[in-house]
Amino acid sequence: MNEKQIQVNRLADGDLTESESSELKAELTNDPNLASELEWAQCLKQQLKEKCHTVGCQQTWQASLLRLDAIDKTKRAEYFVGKYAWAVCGVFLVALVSAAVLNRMNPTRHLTETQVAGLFNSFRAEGGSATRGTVVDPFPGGPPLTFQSFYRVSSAENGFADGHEAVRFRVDDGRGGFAVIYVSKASGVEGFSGTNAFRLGLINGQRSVTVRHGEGLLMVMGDRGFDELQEEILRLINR
Amino acid sequence: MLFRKGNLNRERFERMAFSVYDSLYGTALRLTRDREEASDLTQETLVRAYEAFDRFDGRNFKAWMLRIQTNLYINRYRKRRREGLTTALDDDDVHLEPVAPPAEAPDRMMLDNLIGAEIEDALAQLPDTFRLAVVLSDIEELSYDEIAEITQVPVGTVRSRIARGRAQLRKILAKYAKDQGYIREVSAE
Repeated sequence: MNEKQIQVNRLADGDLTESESSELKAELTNDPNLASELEWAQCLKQQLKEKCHTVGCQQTWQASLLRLDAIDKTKRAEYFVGKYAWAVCGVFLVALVSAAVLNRMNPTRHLTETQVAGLFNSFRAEGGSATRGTVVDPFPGGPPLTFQSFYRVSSAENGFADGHEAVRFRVDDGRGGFAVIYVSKASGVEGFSGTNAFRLGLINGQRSVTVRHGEGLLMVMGDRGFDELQEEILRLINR
Repeated sequence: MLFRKGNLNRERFERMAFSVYDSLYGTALRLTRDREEASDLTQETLVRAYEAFDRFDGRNFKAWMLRIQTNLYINRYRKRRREGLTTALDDDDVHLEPVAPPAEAPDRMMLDNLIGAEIEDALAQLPDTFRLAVVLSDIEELSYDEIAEITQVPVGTVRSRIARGRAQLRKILAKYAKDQGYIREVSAE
């Protein structure tokens, strides 16, 4: 394929400048081979244009539109998530915080084991006090507790257990220490069981006995048998 | 607001795409020579173009679409059939003899007797690069510059491919016409 043949095809396609075109046309008059080349190029162009028609497949077009729909759908979802995700998260967070606040404001009467375990931590060493052989009111207007004369009360602390006011005494009766806890407006501890008024269970591996006392729950726990702990409770509530 | 903008974009794209759809599908068919592959290639072209529609410079939509299609074809379909196409796509340097004997004018009767399917068959026998150049030039009526942009080769290469493609096509058609008895002799023997 020489340069002249390429130029002839360019002439057929109208790709030559005016001067190139005039120059080539002059050559064509003197060169029948080139003139033939031009005629062939023009004929082929015409044949291809006239006889090669394709009508796009309708099925393919419809399938393409479905794919474009899918893209639009994804774009819309991405747009929505991009714009409103923070709002959805915010609402969720507010709901979570509100639920937590409501829970704190309206504690259930039934304590869970973990709540009870919390009674051993974070109490303030101030407030309530007791001395040997005295009757103490854990809370103003609450039921009294009687401390026997042979009790030695080493500490009395006030605090909260899941929103419930609580008071905790550390007591030694000469046979070892035990803890006396009174939680106001509580009725029991989940997982504790018993057939009479007493409910027995283990908290942090320690035996514990609870009983309803006034509007609250009295608990005694220590490293001794359930029977002995029940006896201590009876002494405390003076029965 | 974005929904509205998205809808307008979609409508505009669909309208523009539909106007060049026959060309897209036809070119895909002539490139792949298989209806199913042509359908896949056309769909993929439309999807890619729609995704990139924001980046369309607004000048020549048909050329832009055909460029996407050609790129897809080169990247995807050539890979699939690499062995068969390696020669075809690298044959710019193949030396092709001028096929028309000196001073021989085309036999218009011979060409007129040919039907579209026969010309399409002849076209299908061209190497890929030549076929694409001839299709874009003579069927899609694009300029050399547009073809150069679509195929991403220098315009000089496009000129050469078109001339060679036509020369080869002419040879195939002449042989075909001779075999079919449309003409007795094409050469000047």
